[in-house]
Parts: sequence; C-alpha cells; structure tokens
Amino acid sequence: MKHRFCPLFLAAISLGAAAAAKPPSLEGAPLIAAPAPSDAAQIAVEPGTQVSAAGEVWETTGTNLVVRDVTVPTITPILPAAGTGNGLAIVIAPGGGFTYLSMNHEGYWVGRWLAAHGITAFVLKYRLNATPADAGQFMRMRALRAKADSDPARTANSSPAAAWAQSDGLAAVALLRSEALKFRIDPDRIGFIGFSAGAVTAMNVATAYTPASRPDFVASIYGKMPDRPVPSDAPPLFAAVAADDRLLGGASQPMFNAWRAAGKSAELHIYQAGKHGFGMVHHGTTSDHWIDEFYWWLQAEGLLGSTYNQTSR
Amino acid sequence: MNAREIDGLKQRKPLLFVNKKKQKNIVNLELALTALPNVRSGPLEQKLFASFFQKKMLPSFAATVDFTYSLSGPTLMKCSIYSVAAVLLAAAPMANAAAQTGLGNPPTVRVSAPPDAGQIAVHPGTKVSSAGEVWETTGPDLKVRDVSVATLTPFLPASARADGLAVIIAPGGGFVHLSMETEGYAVARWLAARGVAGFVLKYRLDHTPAVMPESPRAQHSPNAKPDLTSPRSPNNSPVAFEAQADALAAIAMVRTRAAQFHIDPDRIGIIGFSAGAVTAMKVATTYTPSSRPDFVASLYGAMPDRPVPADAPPLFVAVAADDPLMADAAQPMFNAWRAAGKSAELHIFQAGKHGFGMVEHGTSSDHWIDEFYWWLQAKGP
Repeated sequence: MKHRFCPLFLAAISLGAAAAAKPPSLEGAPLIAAPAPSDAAQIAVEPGTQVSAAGEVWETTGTNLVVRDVTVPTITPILPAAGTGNGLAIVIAPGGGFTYLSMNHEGYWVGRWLAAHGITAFVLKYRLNATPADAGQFMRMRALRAKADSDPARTANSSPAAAWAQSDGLAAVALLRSEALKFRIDPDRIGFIGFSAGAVTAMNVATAYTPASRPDFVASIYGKMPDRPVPSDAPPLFAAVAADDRLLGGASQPMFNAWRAAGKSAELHIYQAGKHGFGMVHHGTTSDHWIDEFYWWLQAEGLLGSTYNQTSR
Repeated sequence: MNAREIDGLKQRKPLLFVNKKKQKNIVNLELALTALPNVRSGPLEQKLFASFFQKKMLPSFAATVDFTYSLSGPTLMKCSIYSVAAVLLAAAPMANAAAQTGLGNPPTVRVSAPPDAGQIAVHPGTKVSSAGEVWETTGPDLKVRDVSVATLTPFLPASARADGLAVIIAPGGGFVHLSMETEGYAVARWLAARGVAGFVLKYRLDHTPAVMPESPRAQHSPNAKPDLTSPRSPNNSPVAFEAQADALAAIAMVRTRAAQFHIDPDRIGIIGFSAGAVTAMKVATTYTPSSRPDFVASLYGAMPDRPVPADAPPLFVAVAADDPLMADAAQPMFNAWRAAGKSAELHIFQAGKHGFGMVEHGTSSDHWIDEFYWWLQAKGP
C-alpha cells in the first residue's frame, strides 16, 4: 500500500462526507472492523494481474459493508438463476469519494436486485486513494476535510484515484466483452452504473472509451458530468438524484442537457427527497424506487432482449 | 417500391380526399398510400400533404421523410410522393401496429355524450348542461369540444379502500378540446382503484367550427415550439383564464363538500395534462385559501409567468425528452420551485412524445402514473 502513498490523498474527500460531517462516522454510524467477504468468484480486471485483498481494510457501519485501501481492481459476478438470464450485463461501481467503497448499499445489493431480474451483474472494486489504517484517524481525516473543503466533489474528482477508477472501469467493460461467451452475456449489451464517485467514474468511462471498452448504456446515480464533450456515439444515459442532495443535487440536469444537446437518448429523475447516497437504502422517499425506474428504462431502451413484452397497466 | 408497384398504385381508386374544405377520410395507411399518386399538386394540396405526413399520419417518421413545402410542379410533387410512399411502405408493419395502438391518428368518429349522471357543475348557481358539446372518439381517446358549462365527474374509491386523498384531473387539448378518456377518466379509474378519489374536470373551451381542421394548435409550422409567454399564445387567451377559474372553483367546491365525498379537505390536489397542466400551474400560483391545491402535478405543462407563492404546494413534473412542444418547459418549472425552497420532483422520460397520458407507447413514459402514485405516498423532505 505504502508505495502508492501520495500526499494528495489528504485532499481526497468522500462525496458522502457532507451528510456525515459532525461526529467522525461514515453514513452516520461508527465503523467497526469486519472480515473481508469470502469472494472466490472475484476476477482481476487488469489482464495479467492476480486477485489480492492484501492491505484492504473492511469495515461495517451496521447494514453497510465498506472497503478502503483497494490496490487490485476486481469484479465480483452476481449471476441470474440458471435459465433466467436475459443476456444483459452491467458493471456496478459503488461510491465513497474515492477513499472507500459502499459495497452493500451501492454494490452487492444492487447486483442481487438486478440478477433477480435476469441481468448479469458485476460489482467493481476499483482502486482507491490511500487512507490512514486506523478507523478513528480515517474518520477524523474525512471530517476535517469535509469541513475545510468548499467543493469536496471537485477535490475528490481530481485526486489520483479518480483516474485509476476510470481505467479500472474501462478495463472491466473490455474484460466482460472479451469473455462474453464465458459469462453467457451479449457483448453488445454491456452497461455501466455508478453511484456518487462511482457515477463520476461511470461518466468518465462513458466519455473516454475505445470500441472495446465502450459501455452500451450508462447510469449515473447522484453523479456529475465530466469536463469533456459528449462522444458522437455516446450510449443512452439514465440519471437519477434526490432534489435535497446537498452535494450533487444540481449536477444531474447539466449532464442530461449535455446528452440531449448532442442529440443522444437521455432520461432524468430528480426525487423530491432522498439526500446523498440513498443507494438501496429505503428512506420512505421517492428515491426508494429508482431501481424500478432504471429497470423500466432498460426495457424502454430495448436492452432487455427478446424476452421483453409490454406489460399492461 | 418498383415501377410496376407504382403503376399498380396509380390504377387504384383514390380514397383520400383533399379539397378546399380540408376534409379527409383517412382509414389507414394502406388506403392513404393507395391515394397518393392521384393527388393533384396545387399549392394548397402540397401544403396539406406536407402537413399530413409531418404531423398527422406518422409523426414518428416525419424526420426520416424529406418532404418540403418548396417543391413546385406536378412532376416533382409526384416524385416526392413516390419516395415518401416507398419509405412508408418499408415502415408499414410498424405503422399499422402504431395505428392500432393509437399512435397513427386513427379516424375521428362523432359519438353521443357519455351518460354522465354524476356530473356536478363547478360554479355555484350554474346547472350541468352538455348543450352544444361535440363528442368524438379517436382511437383509444374520447374527446369533447365546445364545452360551455364547467363540470366535475367524481370517481370515488370503494369505501374500504378510500384513504381520503382527492385529485382534480384537468385533461389537455390546447383549450380547443379535452382528451377526456386518456387524460381524464382513465387516470381517475386508475387512482380510484388505489383509494384516491378522482374528479375529472370538464373546463370551458373556445368555440370551434363544426368540422375541425386537422390540428388546431399547429396550423402554421407543425414542429415550431409555442411561445408560451406571448400574449397571442393559447395559454394567455381568454379561454385559458376561464379554465383557471373553473379549476379554482372545482377545488373550492370539492373542499366545501369534502364530507359528502369522504375525503380529507386538507389533501386535495390537482393534476393536469398539456393545456390542463398549464391550467394546474396557473391554479398553483393564484389560489385563495379555499381554492389552494394541496399538491400539483404537471404532465407536459409549463410554468406561468408568475412567482412561486410563499406557501406553494409540492410539485410533481413529468415530460418526455422527445416532446416537441413542452420538453424544455419542465426544468424551468422544477428549478423555480426549488429556488423558492419548495418541494419538487422531476421525471424526464427517454421518449413518449407529447400527450402520452394513459396511452402505452413502450417507452418509459408508460410508468409515469406509478411514479406519481409513489410521490403521493412519499415522506416529505
């Protein structure tokens, strides 16, 4: 881990920090050390690298499971039950301000929901900025930075890990496409969904691909538009955010408008409430239903394959 | 399409009539195609044909058909029609499917007014009367024109399901007609099945000729966006203000009679579609305490030129990204509400065009009413 240590990491602030600035806690709950999940199915995304959890710090906040200090990017497949797959594949990039990953709320649980609906999901564990090993120190660092930084989203996005995450995301799409037969997925229906820093990564991927790493659709859940033009063959875009998201509530309209101005397909949902980081957590707000709307969007874009039939109301 | 097929078409009898009274009988795509080579090519016919292809017959193909008003001379006109026909023939299976689901503008048929014994006049002292009204069906829709007495038709939930919530439903139709079925009754039935009382508002409209021109809203340039702030815009016409008065009166009346309808007088909202949404937004910015909607929903509507009130109700906004008229009007509405610190929600669907209402198009707009219902249920910010 130390070999990647960079002084810039101190500037790297969680996109979720604003909501949890007062006590040193993550998502409002204390961090408790947890064992890494047994994950034999994990696959290294960079050709020639080996899966390794060395140096990773896994912690729980109660329901959520978070990981820090990731140095080897991997994907964890979550497959639909035999015979129920529709061929659609999706890479899921959790958020955590490029300093941690919200693996349950914005990763595994999303994958499980999608797999239950016939979609082959792959949770991406991308490389992160290094953090102090001690949980207390880590949280104090985050809280301090959140207070001092006027634009934590911008700071996080310019940290070194943002570029590593983009590279890991592109490699994941390319890997799935080259291994499509093995995973029983359609190489022309591989998409990317991200949350917060993972959505920043998704949008980076969706504006910087090669033919091999091009996502066939992209979904940004509380993300923002990168400082790049919309590609001429940009994939369809799904954007969702809560109106009361203090960090990124205003960042989805520019993304949607950029896509539409380029003549590309785009959909936008802004929920009355849900704050930053709702993921798969139910708050009793309309953000609870984002994944239903995402599924309907996949259906409407014709991405669910030949099994799709219009349902009557 | 080869020369023989074109010759074959020429032999057939014309079934499409375009005359100076602008009357048409369009039965389906096949018949329309049959008629194509027989069209005379005077300036009026050219214009009507262009209009017919661009917005009436197959709006979704208009972009792929290179058809201009500037063509002159019979030969050019016919060549152009043949190329259009070729494109349409290639697309015929899709087009027929579209016609069956109401996308391809099926024929308008005059019908009698529905038996509507439950109607209530919204203005105190007026009596329900459908005198002068013209009712017509178009595909799945039932439309009314020439409304001169504003009424509400209640759709009440079974008492076991009723949760006390009430919604006034204002259909659209450019203040010229009302889409009573797809933007009215069907919405009310869906809501009533889920415990919400729906009241379909039949608001007053402009008088129309007995035989309607094909599209009263877009006579001049079919794809031009309306200038909603213009004094000449339909949204600012005298009849638009009559509609606003009718909707305000409807809320006040339902509130007064809340006990009779078994609804909560503090949970009465309004939802509108297109011109009905313009009306809903006017209502949501000009109420008195007795006529204040407790929530407002705009389906492909627009923001009036007025400030957001200090106690503005929560706002739900939905539109399709490919709506040529109102797609760009949704974000300003949402942003005005948010800038005033009020609760607002926004859905812009990947596709669905203008006027989807309760008609399914296979686009994500098919699900707007689920999202509206979730919004009604959701906990506030």
